[in-house]
Amino acid sequence: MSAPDMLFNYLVVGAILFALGMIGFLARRNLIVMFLSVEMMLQGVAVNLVAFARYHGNLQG
Amino acid sequence: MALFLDIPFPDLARGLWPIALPVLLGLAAVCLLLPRPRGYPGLTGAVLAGAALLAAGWFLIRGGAADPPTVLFYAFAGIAVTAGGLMVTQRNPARAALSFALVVLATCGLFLLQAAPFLMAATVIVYAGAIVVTFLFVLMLAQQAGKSDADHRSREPVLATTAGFVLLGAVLYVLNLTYESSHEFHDMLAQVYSAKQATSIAEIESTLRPPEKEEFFARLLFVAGEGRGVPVPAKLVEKIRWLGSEWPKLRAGGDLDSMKAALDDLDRSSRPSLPAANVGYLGRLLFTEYLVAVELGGTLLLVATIGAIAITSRRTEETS
Repeated sequence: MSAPDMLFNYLVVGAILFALGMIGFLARRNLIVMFLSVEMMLQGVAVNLVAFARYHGNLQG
Repeated sequence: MALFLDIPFPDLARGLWPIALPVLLGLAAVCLLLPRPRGYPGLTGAVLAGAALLAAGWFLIRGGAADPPTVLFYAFAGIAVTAGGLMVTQRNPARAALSFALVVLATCGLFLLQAAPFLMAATVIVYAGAIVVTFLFVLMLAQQAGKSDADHRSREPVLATTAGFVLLGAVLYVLNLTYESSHEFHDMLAQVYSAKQATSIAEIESTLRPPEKEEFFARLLFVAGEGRGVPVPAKLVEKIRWLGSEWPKLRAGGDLDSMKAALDDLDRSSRPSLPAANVGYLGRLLFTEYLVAVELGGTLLLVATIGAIAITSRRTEETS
């Protein structure tokens, strides 16, 4: 995988995790499951930031 | 809106269906699998979810050679997305918490693949070790009395999944557009990479051939500075401009080694590498550039600790 392909793939995974977390937050009624969904959205954003950090070669992302 | 108007219609439709197919399959699957009082048969939803996952892996992910990073990426990404879907659709909250632990562990694998070992270790310890276990304790201690049916119903399942997948489709579409428009730049950088391994000046000349009748570095500078696609770091643009002005002199000099050295320099700065001492650099960064953010986060944690202590001590006074 070349560097831009790798960035693209990780961004896709981050977007999917974010969208699934959003669906969970909107649809579920249990407060704890809603909180877990928000945490999953956060994981998606973290994957995004880490992928950009690797692509740009700095730790700021 | 201008984004859509720029593109002629057939191109729009051609670029759309590889995104629309996995997104629509996933929408149907999650919509069927979300908990309902009288649920649909789980098998249909599971088959649709599997089809959505396969379609996403086939159409959305740009694969390459089957080298270890690619295989590991497929494995971790598949586990993360599957466990995420399970977490959202699971009726039992304890099982949802365990699926969330699996999501966290799989994303930690992705972090490690992207050269972020400290983040991986911290996430394993804090999320999978502390937060999920705390959630499991809360679930097992607090849900003893008065079983409600809140876990067996969803709030507007159709609207919620539609909202989520419309967002996902829009994000993927823009991502795809950005990827396509930055393609020429990366192709030209690949040309630089193969030119630096050439054995003669004629070979370098033939490798560095722009698509139109134009000077190679002028074209590269134009594509880099166009402002579309993945943003190009300013340092790299500066290096391309410098090499573009130096190149005629190097060519007139006719020294193969100095030409290759210049190309190697450009190639190295186009593929930046992270510092090997990950933790040391993170610490330096946190206490210089992001000092204010660290202090703010610390203050917030202090306030939260004081609040937690205040709430719990008041409750024990009332009961005793």
